[in-house]
Amino acid sequence: MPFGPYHLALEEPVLIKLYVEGERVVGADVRMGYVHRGIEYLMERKPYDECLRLAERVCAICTQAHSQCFAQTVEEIAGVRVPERADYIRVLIAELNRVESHLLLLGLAAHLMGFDTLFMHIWALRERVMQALEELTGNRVQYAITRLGGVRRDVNEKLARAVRNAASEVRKGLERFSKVLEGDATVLARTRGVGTLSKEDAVRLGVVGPVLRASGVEWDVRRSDPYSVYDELEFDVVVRDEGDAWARFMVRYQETLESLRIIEQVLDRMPPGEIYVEVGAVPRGEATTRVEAPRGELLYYVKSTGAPTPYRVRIRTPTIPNIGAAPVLLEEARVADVPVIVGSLDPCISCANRVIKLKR
Amino acid sequence: MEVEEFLGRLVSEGVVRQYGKRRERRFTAKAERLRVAELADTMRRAGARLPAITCVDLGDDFELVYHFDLGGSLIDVKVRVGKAVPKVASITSAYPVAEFYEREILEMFGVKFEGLPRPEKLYLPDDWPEWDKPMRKR
Repeated sequence: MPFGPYHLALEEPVLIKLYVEGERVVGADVRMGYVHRGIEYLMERKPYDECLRLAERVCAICTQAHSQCFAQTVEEIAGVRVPERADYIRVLIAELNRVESHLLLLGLAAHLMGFDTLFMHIWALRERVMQALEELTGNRVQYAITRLGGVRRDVNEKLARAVRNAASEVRKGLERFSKVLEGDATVLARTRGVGTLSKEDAVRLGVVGPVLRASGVEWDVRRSDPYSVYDELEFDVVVRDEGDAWARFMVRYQETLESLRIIEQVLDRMPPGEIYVEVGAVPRGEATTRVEAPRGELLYYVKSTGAPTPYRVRIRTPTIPNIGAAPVLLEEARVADVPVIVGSLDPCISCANRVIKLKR
Repeated sequence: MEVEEFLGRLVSEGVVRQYGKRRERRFTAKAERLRVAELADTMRRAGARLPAITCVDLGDDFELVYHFDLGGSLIDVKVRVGKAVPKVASITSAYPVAEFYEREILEMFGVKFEGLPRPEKLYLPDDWPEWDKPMRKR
């Protein structure tokens, strides 16, 4: 039974072939490639600053993670140290991006459970974050705030106040929903014990991000391999032991609150100073860096020969290992639970699809 | 320091040929094509994760970069594979997650992974011509 590539309960094109016996799923297979845009291929043919703009277009919902990760990889090759203020602004946008992304998924999850009132309330809250991002960067999505060597725009007092207000509104709003997520009969019936991933399987399958942390593994790039200024900020890595769809949603819910905590610290501590340094020609060299994107570990590998364009750019997005775990999660599930299980992985299909040759 | 000790041991056991340090928590190493399976088993036993495999077209050779993560440190292990007969052992038995990485490299570069359970297309359309490996440099 095909689930996708075009399906009512899927926002993005992916094909999950389900093998079923009656209402029971006995096997599943994943096929991607429906939104291939040739990003790794194009990057080998474009100057570094244009590659940056391309990187943030790998995915609209993890856009800051991509541009930040690409920029820090190139900066490492070039031996450039980004001004501290720029690092703080990058983290500010990245965490607002995480809040926006997690709220998007939580709303979507409510929708997939058939709980549309909750969906609309959560997305109304998300709108506050979108507005704050627009004020900060000029864009609702594709913020384009990162530039090689720093950021493009500064944050003044007025903007900082607007972000603070948005953050406290979102926090209050979220606290209202905790009762619903933890106690509502619909939510619990649709998610508790559904699509359970054991700790052993999570480690064996190499899943990342909230999916891994909801199966009891404490692993977050921001803590395990700190980048930017994360080692100066206080936050908890949210871990749950249940491993089911509910735990995956709850990890994201609690992570949103942690992100708000980070945002407030950034606004308090942001040092004055320059917001970028010039990056000259990128010398021969290579670097591998990663960031914790909303969906988990995102890795970039860049190889430079000193030419104006990169020799090779490799992007490993968090959705690749996570969607790879879908067949294991779906085994023995009921067909009616498939949308919730796939949704709980928060797959970003655009992220996973990057390469194709456009010209013959 | 721990990672360096570990890599030093791998060199003495012959699993990798040499290793270097790029910066804090970033290491590189080189390994022989024929010892990739042994390398993967050793890394798995040491508790390393496999965040990615990268293929780079170097002209006459392919360079496979196995990115391992050991407790927050990234170890990039490079393996040269000749372009004439691009073949290397699959590491899917040690790392199931490698299936997607290997299938992508197979269809984009044409490197064959021996023992890959389903060497089928993952991203490219089914009717994509067999001879056309889009990510190869011309």
